[in-house]
Amino acid sequence: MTADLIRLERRLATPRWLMLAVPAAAGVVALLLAAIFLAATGRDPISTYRQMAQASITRDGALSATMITATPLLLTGLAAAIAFRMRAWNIGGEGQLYIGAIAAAGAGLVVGGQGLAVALPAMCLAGMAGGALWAAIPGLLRAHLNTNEILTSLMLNYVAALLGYYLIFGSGSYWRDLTSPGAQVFPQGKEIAATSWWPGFLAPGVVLPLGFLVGIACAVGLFVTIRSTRFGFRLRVVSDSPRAALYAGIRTKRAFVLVMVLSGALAGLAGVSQVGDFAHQLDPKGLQGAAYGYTGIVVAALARYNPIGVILAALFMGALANAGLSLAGSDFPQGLVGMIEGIILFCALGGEVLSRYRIRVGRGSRALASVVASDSTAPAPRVDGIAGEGAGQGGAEVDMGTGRIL
Amino acid sequence: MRDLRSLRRLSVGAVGVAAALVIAACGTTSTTAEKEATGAKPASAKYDASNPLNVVVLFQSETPNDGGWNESWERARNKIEEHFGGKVKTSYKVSVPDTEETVNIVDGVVADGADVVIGVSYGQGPPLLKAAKKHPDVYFIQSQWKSPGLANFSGVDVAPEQGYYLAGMAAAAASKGKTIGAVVPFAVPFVLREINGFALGAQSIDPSIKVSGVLTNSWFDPSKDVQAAQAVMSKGANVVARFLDDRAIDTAAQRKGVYWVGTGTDTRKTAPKTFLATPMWNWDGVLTTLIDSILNDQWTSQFLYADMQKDGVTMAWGDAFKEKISAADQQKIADMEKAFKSGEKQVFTGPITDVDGKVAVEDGQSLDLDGLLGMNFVVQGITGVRVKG
Amino acid sequence: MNDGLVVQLLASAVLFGTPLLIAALGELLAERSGILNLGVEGMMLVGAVSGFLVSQRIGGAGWTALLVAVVAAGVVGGGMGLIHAFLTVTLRANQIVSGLALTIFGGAIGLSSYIGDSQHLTGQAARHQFEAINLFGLSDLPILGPVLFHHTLFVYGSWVLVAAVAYYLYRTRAGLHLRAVGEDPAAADAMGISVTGYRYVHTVAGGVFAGVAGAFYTLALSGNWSNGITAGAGWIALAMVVLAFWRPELVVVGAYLFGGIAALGPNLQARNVSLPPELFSALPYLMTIVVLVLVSSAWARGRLNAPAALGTAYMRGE
Repeated sequence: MTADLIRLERRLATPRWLMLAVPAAAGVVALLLAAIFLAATGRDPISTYRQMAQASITRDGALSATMITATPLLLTGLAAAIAFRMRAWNIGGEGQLYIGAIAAAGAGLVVGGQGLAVALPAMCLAGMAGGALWAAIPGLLRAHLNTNEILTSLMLNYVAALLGYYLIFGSGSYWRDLTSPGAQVFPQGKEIAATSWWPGFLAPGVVLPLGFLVGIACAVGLFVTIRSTRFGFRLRVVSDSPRAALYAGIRTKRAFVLVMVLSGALAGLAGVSQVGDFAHQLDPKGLQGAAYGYTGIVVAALARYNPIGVILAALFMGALANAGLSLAGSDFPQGLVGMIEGIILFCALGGEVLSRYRIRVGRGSRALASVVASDSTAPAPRVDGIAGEGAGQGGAEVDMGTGRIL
Repeated sequence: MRDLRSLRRLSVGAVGVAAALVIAACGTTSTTAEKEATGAKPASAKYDASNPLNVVVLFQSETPNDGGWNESWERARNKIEEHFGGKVKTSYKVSVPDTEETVNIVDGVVADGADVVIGVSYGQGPPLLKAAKKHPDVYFIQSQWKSPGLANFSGVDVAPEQGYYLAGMAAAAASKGKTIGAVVPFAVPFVLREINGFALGAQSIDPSIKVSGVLTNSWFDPSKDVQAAQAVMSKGANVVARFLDDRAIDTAAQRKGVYWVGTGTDTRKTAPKTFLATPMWNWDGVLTTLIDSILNDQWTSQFLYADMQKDGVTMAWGDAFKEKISAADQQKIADMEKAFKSGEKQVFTGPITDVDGKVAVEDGQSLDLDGLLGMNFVVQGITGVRVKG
Repeated sequence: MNDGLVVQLLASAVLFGTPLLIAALGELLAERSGILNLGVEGMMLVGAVSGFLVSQRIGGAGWTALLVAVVAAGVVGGGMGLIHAFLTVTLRANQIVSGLALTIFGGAIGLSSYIGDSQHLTGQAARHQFEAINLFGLSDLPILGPVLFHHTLFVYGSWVLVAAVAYYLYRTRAGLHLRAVGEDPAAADAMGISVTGYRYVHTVAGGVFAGVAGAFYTLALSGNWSNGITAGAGWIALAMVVLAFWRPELVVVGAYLFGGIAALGPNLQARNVSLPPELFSALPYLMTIVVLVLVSSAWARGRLNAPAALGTAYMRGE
């Protein structure tokens, strides 16, 4: 192939100004592209954007609503980020979240009456253990029986969802409320004692759920762990150069299972927060509709698996989701909402790439290509999806801490 | 990502270590959003063409035209708009989750001027109750929820058991065998009212007939739904009734020459040849009553049960009904419909025994509204559907 | 005899496995080139709605309308694949996000919903449908008749597709190049194979297959359009590629196995077997795991694995 019309050349280093300019430019392009769609279907782009901003940011209570969505996405985003960074393709965050919610609701129902000081740690431990165990299944199967974890973790999502439905819809389980008037008309979970509901914190203009703060603590903890601890170093070696890990005497199978367990525990924590912060009961229907586990993968990948970046990506996706929810209606079909959200994501992706590549339009020559090739010794981050993301410790570390998501 | 959870209540709490780290300016106030609003009904206002009453319907589906439950509400919305002329203006939101994230959506429609908010899915009840407390000047109408003492909140329901009773009679009359198939999403009370009514109606024509149900564990999944329909048809059912909104079942039935019974909305166009019957849910009557009461400043918080007497349920009959059912059976069905309409007949009047042989409704007694709304038994003659707990 | 449980299950396996099979074959082509596309569900839905729209609007005889409708579904699906290809091959964007964004863009809350809404497709009676064909007059044959010889053209077409994809992959020069691109793009590039070209073509092909698979739901199964009609089949198709170790001949086995086991629950329930229905519903997923565990631990170690470059962008010189 001698000439692609559009070619990319990698930048040796990304200038600081570009890190700000590119997300801004991507945003502008997204708005312009979406505006074309909107105008073509007879809608006013400006008022649409105003409504989106109101619903996700500016209206009274909108920021708090965005935090509600961002909280689970932060935790499932971290779960996906740690796994994908270490090349454990855990797409079972969804199911691990369900199991975490089931375990946390169970714990909350048992000890809820004893107050937050008991219930909070109990729910966290139970939920994290539940998520971790659920993730350990694909982890162990992969480590010892060479079974592809993408498939097993995906299939277990459906099984976990059905388990939740069984507990509330299909049986008279401990989780199910069989007495209250509301629950007799439609099956519901038992509510945990109000004294064990998680507190929220009032910052200027926004209520922060406890789960969000827990998520931030987890993000910082993960960031430090991966970057500066012996444990994190070992994990990086195992994932980035398994052969070297073998020579170094690191037990790669155990490391793989550990990563899966850690990821599962974080996803489980998202389920805990759903129970503690918001629902105060097991609500399988609501959890399944929300699909936080799957969206967490988008969050993690937008953040390029950087734990700090996940915080911003979760906020971004939370705002986008709330904007979409408030738009869809009589004069704005749901289909257009999804298309606009898709376009914004496409542009965010494109922008992220362009911050590290230069575009050359026109016919390039082999000579140029070889110049590009010689650049490849520089420790720049690689841009790719599954297998290469975060490959090379240098590459990943260049990105750490910049917090770029777009 | 469309269906997002929400915070129910963020109560006062101690500032945790993490919180202190992250937000310096962090206080410990509880959300002040919940005003105690129980006493007075919303202040009256005069509505006319220049200042129409603004009604917003919250649909759960991505589109109001889902061929079933949501579409029955969409019909009502259109009828209301027509009925009140310029005095009432309606609009809707779609993809409204079953969760309390909905409070933010209600905040939005109220900010845009909504006077009345209507929730069509049962799960929207809790968030709408919270929103009703938060917006005491707005009227809330919610499917299947009774107001817990909120003056600005009313509930409505239809009588699915009546429509399905008549459909069950027709199914038994049309059936050549002793088994009628049923595709069932979940064994929740509303669906139990439907399928129990259906079975009782069928047994009133042929006491030995069986309703063979398959639970799909989902509200809509064409592959599963068609598999379920094919399974009961392969066991000899030549009528299939569905209790969920999937017209793929209608097509599958027509392909086999099997009669089908739909739900909520008339979807006969999909498979007209073997269409037998569909009980229709008509919400416009009760909604008109409630909206009238707002316009006339007569609103009170109440629960309206739209049975056949109130035209909340009507029947859509297929050609097969007239062509394949004997005149005698047609007459029986017409008589029963009349009895429902006059209110002299109830579906769940004892003696009714459940599948385990226990008495579900005592001889001579009828279920009251709470008994209907919270139905938790399966009548004799139904297989494949169980109530747990 | 042909109403028996076993025949029912086998016939269901073929019928309900078919859309999974077609979509998985397409995804297999894309993944063999190194491009993971998680947008299958979205591409299927767009194909489903486009196929239905065209079959409703086009005049002429039934079979021509259906043919054009299937082609349209494929073309639109391919267009969706092209978006993914542009983002992941040309712009080297993250394949996971791009695929998921594609599902948001096109899926039940996106383009497919918009088309269905704005064209008022919900509730319309299908003007044309694929009906089961009595192949070679053998549909009344005991057991084999209903299982193999009484299906729509989608089923027979999918058999041709499997053979074609297998032949293409293993027996043609282009297939060899494709595998090279997926395993070691740098080496392929050095051999003068256009990595970009191969990835574009096969990602688009994956979209075409997914679009056609989506059309199965509107044109052969349901006889109408409902929003979100594929109900998650795209995700199962993705799993089938893994289960089949990226081999077309094994995709058939996986898809039919899934279709058959999924039909087990309803058929047992209709025969009054009393177990929690949630257990029946979970069976296909559990069985898929069990099968994969058995196969991968006993026999496949090292030999049957993902294309080495799956998910990675290629940049000359890296």
